[in-house]
Amino acid sequence: MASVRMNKVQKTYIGSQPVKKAWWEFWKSGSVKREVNVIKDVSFEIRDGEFLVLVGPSGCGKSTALRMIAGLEEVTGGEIYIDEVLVNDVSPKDRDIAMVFQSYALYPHMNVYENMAFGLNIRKYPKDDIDKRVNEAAEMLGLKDLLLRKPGELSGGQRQRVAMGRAIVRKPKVFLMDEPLSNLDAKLRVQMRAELQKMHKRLGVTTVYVTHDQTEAMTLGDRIVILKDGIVQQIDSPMNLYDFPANKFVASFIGSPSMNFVPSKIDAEAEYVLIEDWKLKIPEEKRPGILPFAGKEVIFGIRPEHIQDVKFTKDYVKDYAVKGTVEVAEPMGSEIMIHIDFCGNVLAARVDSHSSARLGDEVELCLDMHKMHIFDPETEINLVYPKKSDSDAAKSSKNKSSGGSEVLKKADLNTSKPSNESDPDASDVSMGAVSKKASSKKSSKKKK
Amino acid sequence: MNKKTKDTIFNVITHLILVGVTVAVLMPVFWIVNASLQDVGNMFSGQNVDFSKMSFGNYAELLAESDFLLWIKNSFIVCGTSTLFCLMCTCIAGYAFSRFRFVGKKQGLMMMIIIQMFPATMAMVALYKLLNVFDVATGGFIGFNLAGLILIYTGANIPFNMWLIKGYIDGSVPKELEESAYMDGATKWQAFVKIVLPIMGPIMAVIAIFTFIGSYNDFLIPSIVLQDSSQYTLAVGLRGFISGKFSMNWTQFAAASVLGSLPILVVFLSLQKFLVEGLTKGAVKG
Repeated sequence: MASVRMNKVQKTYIGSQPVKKAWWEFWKSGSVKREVNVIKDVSFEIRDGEFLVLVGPSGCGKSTALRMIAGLEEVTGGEIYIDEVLVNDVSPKDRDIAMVFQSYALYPHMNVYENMAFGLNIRKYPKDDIDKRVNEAAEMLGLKDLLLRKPGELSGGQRQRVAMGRAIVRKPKVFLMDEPLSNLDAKLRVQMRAELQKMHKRLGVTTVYVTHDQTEAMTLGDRIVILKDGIVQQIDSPMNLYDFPANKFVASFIGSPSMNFVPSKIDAEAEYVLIEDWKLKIPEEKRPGILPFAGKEVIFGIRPEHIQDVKFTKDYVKDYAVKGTVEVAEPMGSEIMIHIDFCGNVLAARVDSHSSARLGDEVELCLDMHKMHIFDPETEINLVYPKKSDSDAAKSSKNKSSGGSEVLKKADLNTSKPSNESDPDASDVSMGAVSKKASSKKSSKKKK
Repeated sequence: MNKKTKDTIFNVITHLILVGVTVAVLMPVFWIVNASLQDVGNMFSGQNVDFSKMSFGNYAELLAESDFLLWIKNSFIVCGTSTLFCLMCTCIAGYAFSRFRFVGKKQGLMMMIIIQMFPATMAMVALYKLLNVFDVATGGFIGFNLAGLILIYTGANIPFNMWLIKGYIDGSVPKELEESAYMDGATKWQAFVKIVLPIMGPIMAVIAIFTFIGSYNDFLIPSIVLQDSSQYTLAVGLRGFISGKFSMNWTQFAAASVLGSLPILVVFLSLQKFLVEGLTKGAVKG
């Protein structure tokens, strides 16, 4: 077992196409290839024995980050530490890491036993030891009867288990998994997910898991790193990500169906969210973060599960209610998913299964305003994101004085327990990348 | 005319064309087998095939009086060795061109294609001069002998076969297999030898067959390179039967041709399965 630390890691690819230039520029500096920045200043720590999930949309750099930990990709900038040892220039074979690939990458000319024993044979383990380890792993994964079969004779689920077995037998410091369940059908995926959880609990090996499936991320991860365009958006536990998303991207990425976003305005006293003629009261605990935005345009966000038919709301508050026309109604058995037209916006709501809301009806819905979010329309930062606690602030200042990485500060901040106070400055620190984007936007405006 | 009649006419015409083509293809084979079983006098008499006058006398004479077995042995030495060397070089070069980034990669690949565009006869004089240099430099070890021939065949077959190997690795050997081997603790060489090479079996079979048959059938280069009759390959040796001014022994020539093509037939049939697999896999990416 080991910890893994990425410190301001960057990855730049040199593209195949040269940058377009006028001929006189070629004369001066020659042909320059276009650079593609895939990972930009990514920093986080994977603790000893932790199951960390890297999640994000396609092309966000999550697989590249994993491959950099594995040593299959060179690091353009920054450092990667495994057990506090710098491994930037250490070859993959010397990192003592096992990786499960999306396509499993089983050696087609070897049988299951040989596949699992390959790593041990290469490292010249004694034959008895290899036999014992392979048999143990095969027993654990239910592969005992398949040891003499070639990968071509196995089903998808069995191949996946062989790939896992090949990783397990070596007893490595870290497991890396690159979307290992994405080639399985839905039912098998659920089953294998449970097996992965069991396996991690049993072995307790530090695991980094890459997926684009938020359900996998939420169910498997001790903590989740959300990446977008090569920038870390937020690092936190699954529930904290769901309850306290740092920005609009995280809010929309986590949760299914995704959060509703409605362009709105804050009134002059920061007491109400104004959506056309509707006034929704802002709960007291949410106000401090919103105060600087009094009288300004914002984006109002609420999850479908926090909207309920008024007839089924226990604590009806008039200031939390809105009306709209049902455009789509999908009875799911346990609940009804409805899409209503609310001031020109589509609002998805998960209402009680006994609700009488049907297509074309006008319904009154009650929003759980204690669980609402307000986003800055420019930076997309969550204005009601909880402020870091004093102890965390002390920790981060300690890091600063001791030259600790900014990543750790971010991680500390992001894992901080939510408090009732809100502070946009805190979000500013945590959302370094986003605020940088905003400030650059502002400066470019000034230039204009 | 109804559809059924139309179909029948179409089928008859198609089959007639196919039968015609088959006869055209098999005619030389039939002719040479027939010739090998005839007396010299009967061969050009223009009579119908007369089974009563056929005998294996030509074959017996061939084996008893000529150096046929020596030629076969020489051919096997040259073709087998050059095939082996060619496989070794092309596998390593093809893998490098497929997987690694290095200075001159693009130019190297282009050069290999361009080399293919020139006919082999164009290089005759140059090859002769080169062998002369090798002959002097190695004290006759590599020169106008079998070793020189092996060197020429190996070199001549590398460019095209290297492209075949590169295409096969690009299309049929996923990079993840090697990466997985690296993660398992293998070095680059181990990953190549233990993982990539065994998967390349089909394309290696294709290259082996092409190189072997190509060199086995070649007449031009060995007729220039080989100067000692004890080192003649089959193709050069065969010429001896029909190159005399007053004695052209076509029947023995035919018998030697038939007998000489048997080893190739055996090699081809035994590797046919791989051949088809290798060719299709190399062609279709997947």
